[in-house]
Amino acid sequence: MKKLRYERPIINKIKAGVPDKYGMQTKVKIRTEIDGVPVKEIVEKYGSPVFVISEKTIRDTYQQAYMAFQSRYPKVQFAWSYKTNYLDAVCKVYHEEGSWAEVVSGFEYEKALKNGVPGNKIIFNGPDKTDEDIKNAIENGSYIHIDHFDELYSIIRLSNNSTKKAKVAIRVNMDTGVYPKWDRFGFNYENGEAWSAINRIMISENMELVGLHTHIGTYMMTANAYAVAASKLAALADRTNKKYNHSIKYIDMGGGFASKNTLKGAYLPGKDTCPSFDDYAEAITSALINSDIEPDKLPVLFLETGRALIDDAGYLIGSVLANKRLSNARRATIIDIGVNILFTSFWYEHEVYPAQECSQQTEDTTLYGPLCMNIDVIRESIQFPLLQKGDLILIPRVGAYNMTQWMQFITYRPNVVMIDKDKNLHLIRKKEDLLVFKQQEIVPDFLSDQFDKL
Amino acid sequence: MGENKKKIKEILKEGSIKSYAQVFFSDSTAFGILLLLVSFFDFYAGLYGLIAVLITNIIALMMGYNEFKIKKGTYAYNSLLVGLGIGLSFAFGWQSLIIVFIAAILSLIFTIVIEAFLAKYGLPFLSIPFLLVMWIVLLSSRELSALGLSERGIYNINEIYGIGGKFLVDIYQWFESIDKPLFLKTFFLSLGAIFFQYNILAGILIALGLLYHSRISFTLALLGFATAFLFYQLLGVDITHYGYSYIGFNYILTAIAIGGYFLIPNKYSFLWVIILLPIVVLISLSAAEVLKYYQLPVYSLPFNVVVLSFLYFLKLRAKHTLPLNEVIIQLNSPERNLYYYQQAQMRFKWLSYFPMYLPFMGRWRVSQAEDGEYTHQGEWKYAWDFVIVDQTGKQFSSYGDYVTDYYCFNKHVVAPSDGTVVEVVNNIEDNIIGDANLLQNWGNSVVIKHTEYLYSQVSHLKKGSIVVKKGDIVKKGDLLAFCGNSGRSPFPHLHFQLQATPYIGSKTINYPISHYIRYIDDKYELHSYDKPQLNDEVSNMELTTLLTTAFKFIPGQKLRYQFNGKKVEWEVKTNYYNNTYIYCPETNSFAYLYNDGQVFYFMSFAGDKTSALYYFYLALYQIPLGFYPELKLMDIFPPNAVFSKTEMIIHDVFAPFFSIYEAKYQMMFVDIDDDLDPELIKIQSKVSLFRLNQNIKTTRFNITISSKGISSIQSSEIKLELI
Repeated sequence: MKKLRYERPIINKIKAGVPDKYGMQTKVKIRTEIDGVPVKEIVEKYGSPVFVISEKTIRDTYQQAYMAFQSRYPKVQFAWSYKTNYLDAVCKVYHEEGSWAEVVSGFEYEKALKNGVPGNKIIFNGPDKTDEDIKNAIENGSYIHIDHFDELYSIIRLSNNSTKKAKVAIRVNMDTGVYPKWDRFGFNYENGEAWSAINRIMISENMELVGLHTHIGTYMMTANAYAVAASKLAALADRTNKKYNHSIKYIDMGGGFASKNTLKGAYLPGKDTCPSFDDYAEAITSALINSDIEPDKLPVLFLETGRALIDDAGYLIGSVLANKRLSNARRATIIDIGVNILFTSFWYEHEVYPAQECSQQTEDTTLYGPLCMNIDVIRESIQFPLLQKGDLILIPRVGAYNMTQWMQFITYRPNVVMIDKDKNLHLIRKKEDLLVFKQQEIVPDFLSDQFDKL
Repeated sequence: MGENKKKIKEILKEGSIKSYAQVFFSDSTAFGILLLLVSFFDFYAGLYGLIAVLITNIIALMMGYNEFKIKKGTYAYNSLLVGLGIGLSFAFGWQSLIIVFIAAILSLIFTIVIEAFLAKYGLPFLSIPFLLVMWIVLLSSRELSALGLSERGIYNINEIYGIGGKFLVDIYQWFESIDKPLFLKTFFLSLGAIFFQYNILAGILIALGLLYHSRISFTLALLGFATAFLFYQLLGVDITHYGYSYIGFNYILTAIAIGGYFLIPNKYSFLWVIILLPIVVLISLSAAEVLKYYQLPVYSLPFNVVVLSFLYFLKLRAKHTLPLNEVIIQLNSPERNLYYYQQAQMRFKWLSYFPMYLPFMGRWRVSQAEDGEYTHQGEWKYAWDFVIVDQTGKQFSSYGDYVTDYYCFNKHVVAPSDGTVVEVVNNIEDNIIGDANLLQNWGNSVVIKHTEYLYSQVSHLKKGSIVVKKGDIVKKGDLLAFCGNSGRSPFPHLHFQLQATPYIGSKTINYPISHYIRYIDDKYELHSYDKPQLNDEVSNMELTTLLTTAFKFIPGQKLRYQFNGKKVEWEVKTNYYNNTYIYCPETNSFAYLYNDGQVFYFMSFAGDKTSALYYFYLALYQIPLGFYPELKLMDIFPPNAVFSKTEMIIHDVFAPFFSIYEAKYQMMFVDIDDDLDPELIKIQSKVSLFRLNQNIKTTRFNITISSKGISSIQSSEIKLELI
């Protein structure tokens, strides 16, 4: 007979909440596998903590999003937002599905080219583009999304020396009725700057105005804001067509679609409150179709959705380091996942699941990370079962931003593993080691061999 | 004024010559001239014939009848026959000249009146005017003592001597002395008899002319005559009897008219010739019996009776079950009619259709096609149901328990073509999944009127989602409503049908979709004037601006190309019939084109087959205006546009039954430099020639389209570059 698990005793106040029609949920949900691969097996092979990416979820989510738009609008093109997750393996899955690349820096641009994306399928966004970046983009026929007039002047200056016409779009910001108003990127619509930028481009010899771009915010909880934005861009496109007889080839609605994570302070879980792809698609495509643009001349609709596409595909597996009791008698559990690798825990109430059979008794627990820093908290308060040292936990929906914004702090960044459609595991980013850092660091000669001198 | 006179002279000249050819349903000038000469074998008959033709055409022109028809000889061929008849029957003199004059005018009047009368039934007037006038003249002549009866036709040799001297007489006698098979002899005599020339030489010359004009007509003439000949043998009547062979031409003309002229020549039309000819024989014999009491010849009565009856008989068919197809646009030659018809079947179906597209955006799948297993049956069989499926082929996400799970639910439904909204129902509840509203089975629907007797209906729309109202004018692609689940719809889908009446649920009509893209895995197929089949995934074609601009030819536009290093200049023009063509003045070549906004076609080519324009025509025979990677397309050239005249002679003979020579066109989109804002598109096209299904030659063209237009066409033989 298998030895029973030791369960430490606890004393819990009976808190009978308001039961809903399903009665009271008391069962602790556990998740022992990802796409049918046991979490335990992954940890045995790749250690803990470890990021896991599901190829199947990426493709399914992409298709879901693509279907939502494609079935409502004749010409739809997604561009994978590199900053959300630029692991090459991830990017390549998106490119295979038909996504272009959306990059915001020279580094991401290089990465996209290296991933085999042709220059004319890269959208170059962002406020920081060096002269070198702009030159490359012009030569490769990439689409440059202009953020400010200084960039516009740079492009005019640089494109004069090029044999190729610069293909450009302008980024437009506007009031879409949501707070906060994102007006730091691009040219404002209401004060006429956007129209003025369009005019400058249209009279310039060496630039071709191909598209209009907006990015109204991030984690947008209302689809209506997109409808407002789309109709404003359509109005600009129509005005350009009327004045210059020049049809705008694409309208880029940026990203910002919310994922199913729950924001801190939210009353209801994200998966119940966030709009679906269909809601966003309905708002955007209806606005475009109902605009003054003729049906035959409708521009291609570009989407740079990052978060909503990848968040669900990413998992983080960790393990319990220790349990302790705080001064106010509150239970604390220390896990090996810190804010250095789970950056998003600053704004999400991440769901955390035990990854093996465990007690059904829960305690109000604080989950701390392993860092020697006070801010290293994964969850302030969570009804969590009684785990023991070495027990595994699983945090779902961590695909977006964590693998790009993570910090190398105090310890190495962990392995990243991809589960392919056939449930095979592939290491797609190796855990760092000392060598990685040694390679980057240079110790001046006068500081070397200190210990020898002792 | 001088210009006008020249024009009148031109019309008279051409109209008169073609009147001769018209007797054999031809508009060939060369054949006309030959027949004109043959008619002078009997000098006075020929003369009277010519006079009658001229009088008719001059009066028709003066009275303001259709110049086009005069020019084609339509009005004068009956007068010609009357003139010939009078010339042969009466002695030359001023009295008979006056009769010719009067008879010609009467023929014209009868022609115009009978034409108008029969046109109501869609029938030709054939040689009825001739028949009536000739009988009138003959009957009245018995009272007109001043008219001397001619003795010509009896003393043949005297007459021939009069025309061509001893030389011609020698030829004639040599000819008569040759032992000719009975069949051929009577055949040639009958052919000659059409022009009142009862001699073999005339018959042979006419036969050669007919062969030159049309191989199919010639074959039919032989077939018709042979059938009648055999039937005579069977009945035991001697066909060589003067009276009978004088009406032998009835068999020839009936065979040509039914076998290849008024019907598209094929095995069925040939079969009907064989069936009809004995009938013609019976009518000939019986008519002769009746008419002999009036001492009137039968002339072309049997031919007229049989052809008109049979054509009208065909018109009253309820269904066209056999491929017996009436010629709609008469091109005056069985070959031309046949090749044009084959082209029309293959390529120009759009001529008769109002453009119709799919009523949605993006890619949908046909869940029930025409003659579907559920509801598309009987009078409602020409309809389609569409749904949206995901990559795995599922119509819904999660479990499909709610309408909102279905991908197609609440998706845009757009106008399939321009029109006016004539019916809207917008207040029927959407069903829960699995239920069906059998009382209001069409659910929420919109009916649009496109043209007379052409309406489209979309049904099972979402309750309250219709954004148009009765009387709204919609353009293709305008939003109508959203897909729903109302009416007899157990799960959300879009029903689309075309009908001839404006009511919801009218019976459907058999009508194709103009152009659509069918998706097969990663490949694309363009279907034109076709119908989506069950489980096809289809969408409307998205146009590529670079292509639409390059293939937009505006009348007056000049095209300048470098052809193998030599400069050529063309102009885009439009003619009287609103057909656009590219004209090359240097080689006097025409390339007729058509662009329906979605696909560019070259329709036909006339002129120099070594010119740059000819290669332009070959290479760009059909080009869709939306770029889809590796999209392939097939088409077929009319054989006479590609093969030489000598090759065509053999081809023509067998053309009603099978094609000896075939020319196929194939094109494929090869490359685009940029999906979004392309500046360069590469196309490959291929012209393959086949003889008895054996490939004899293939020419490949590499075509480049740039923002300047069609910038280059290259093959191993030619190089055409835009200047």
